[in-house]
Amino acid sequence: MEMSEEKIILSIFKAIDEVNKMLPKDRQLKKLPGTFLAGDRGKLESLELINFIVELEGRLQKDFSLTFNLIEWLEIPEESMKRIDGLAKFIKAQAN
Amino acid sequence: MKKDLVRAILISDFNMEIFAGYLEHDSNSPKISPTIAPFGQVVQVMMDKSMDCWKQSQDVAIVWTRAESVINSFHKALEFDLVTIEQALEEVDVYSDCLLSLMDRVKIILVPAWTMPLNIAGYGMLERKSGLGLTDLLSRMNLRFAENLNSMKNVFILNSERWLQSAGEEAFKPKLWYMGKIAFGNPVFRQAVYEIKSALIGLMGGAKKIILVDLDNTLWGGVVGDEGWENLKLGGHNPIGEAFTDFQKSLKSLTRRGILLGIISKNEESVAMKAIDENSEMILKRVDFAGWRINWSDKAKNILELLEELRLGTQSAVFIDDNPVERARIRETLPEVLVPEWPNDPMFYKHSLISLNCFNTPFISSEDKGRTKLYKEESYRKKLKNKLGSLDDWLKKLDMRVVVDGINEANLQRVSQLFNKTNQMNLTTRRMTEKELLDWVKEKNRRIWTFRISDKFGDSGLTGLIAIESEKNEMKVTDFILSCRVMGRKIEEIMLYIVSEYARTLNLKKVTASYLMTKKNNPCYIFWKQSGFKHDKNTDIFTWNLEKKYPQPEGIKISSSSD
Repeated sequence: MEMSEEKIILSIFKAIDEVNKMLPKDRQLKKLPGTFLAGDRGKLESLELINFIVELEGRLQKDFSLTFNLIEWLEIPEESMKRIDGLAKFIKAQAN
Repeated sequence: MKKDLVRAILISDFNMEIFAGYLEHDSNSPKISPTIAPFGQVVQVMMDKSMDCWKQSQDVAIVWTRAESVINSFHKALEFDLVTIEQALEEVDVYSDCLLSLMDRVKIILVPAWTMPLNIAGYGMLERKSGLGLTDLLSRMNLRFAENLNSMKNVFILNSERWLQSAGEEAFKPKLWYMGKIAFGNPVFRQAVYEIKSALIGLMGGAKKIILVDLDNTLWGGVVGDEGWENLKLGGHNPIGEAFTDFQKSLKSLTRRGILLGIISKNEESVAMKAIDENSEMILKRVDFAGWRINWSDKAKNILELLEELRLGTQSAVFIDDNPVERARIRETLPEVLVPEWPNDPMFYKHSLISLNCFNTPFISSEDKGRTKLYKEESYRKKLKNKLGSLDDWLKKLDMRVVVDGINEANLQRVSQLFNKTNQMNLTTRRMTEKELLDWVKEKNRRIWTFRISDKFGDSGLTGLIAIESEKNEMKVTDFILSCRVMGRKIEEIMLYIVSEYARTLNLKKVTASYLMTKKNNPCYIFWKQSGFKHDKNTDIFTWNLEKKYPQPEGIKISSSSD
């Protein structure tokens, strides 16, 4: 499958669907490009974030047949990169 | 234990936060409020009642450990140290005693069985060798553990191996382990939640007690009323027939666990029961069914009646039907009845039945509470009966559409098929070849109209037809045919409405239909007798006087193919 940012975001949404199953309603992640996943404004706690990353890595493998290590994304300091659209950009850059 | 909220303490040597999240936020009943005991302190938590995690009373303890973490001999064995089986089993005995000390604090203990670590190769081909293989050792440990706890009525060892199998490669994720000490992947946790809830439902007396099955294309392949009991797809050297047989075998095996079977089917009872009695491929016999309602009435009404007869509540029942419209009807009218989605392909029927996992029987007999419960169920059913709502109202919600068309090249084959295969809703059972049909309809005073039915669940296709012939001041219905798939949804009335309106435009005086009885077309007779047409019992001729408009059923959109 061709790897556009839109398609990456769809994979991220699938991972969010899974993570939301283990979260209370008020903490569930919205499937919007501007939703913060990590950092101060992110709603996920550390174990949930790890789980999300592992879930997403699995989704990307299924959707694009590519292996990613998204742990590095956690270490990026820029706030904007901690959002869903930022993560999609990071994945796109890693794929190229 | 309250039914609306179960308090569960999670005791484990790995991180249970993700599992707890799934457990707490799963939308199915019962709701569970988990408390995570301090991570990695399994024995301390079990033995020390004064720990903070015990401040709140708990209903259930879920003790999920890895064997290598709590049985030191097994840990050593994983590193290929030589250990004796006896050593390992002694440790299992000690661990069992620790576990049993929980009995004074919780009502139920659920213990996922130990599983082989997924990142261990073991001894390869020697894995099952007694006294050496790790798999062999673990099997013995699990067996000893089960034996130690066997006499405890409140302790259950869950088959966690199955959770790992169903998760496949997702069962273990090294990254989850190294970064979070999470021992299993999400699919394992999801499956665990499903099975733990299923166990709790069973323990609380909520296991399903009866499976209500449809017949045509559910218990056997084909429509018995049309095809005859001899021609059903069942057994034999045929993959579909074999799939239906396997499904019946699975149902039969459930009866040996005490699950009742019932039939809810739209059919002629005598025809359906003949299939059950006479078809030698039938695995299920008349005696296997606790009761049945086989008629043309609303299935919701039939279910209530049958459950009443068997003195069971709606919450005890599972309803299996290949028809999505019937499933939706029951879901809406009897929400306590479990109506699983059902595959289109019979080869998946057995798998779907086994996956239901709602038949876990409780360890405590419910007989003691039976009488009170029975009264409650009686009263609930009475209330439900009043709430059931009319079938007409429900049919209106189906968003049904009927497209009327003449006979043409595109539908000729299907029309001929309906003529020659439909038995139940068939006025005269006149058989016609394609050529005969075309020749017959050539006459100016004759028409054949076809009816294509669709609703919010999908397109049932061309499923009805009516053939008419005008003569003097009369419109004769020569053929009135409808597939049993759509019978009882007011399509019959729509067909008569269309014919009568057409006859009125021709200034005719009456519409008549002459019923010709066969062995199979009693459903058609029943319909006509309640159609509103005047019935001459001596001749079996039905008449509608066109001075009066035939009532149009509400909520069904009619269009012609040219619209």
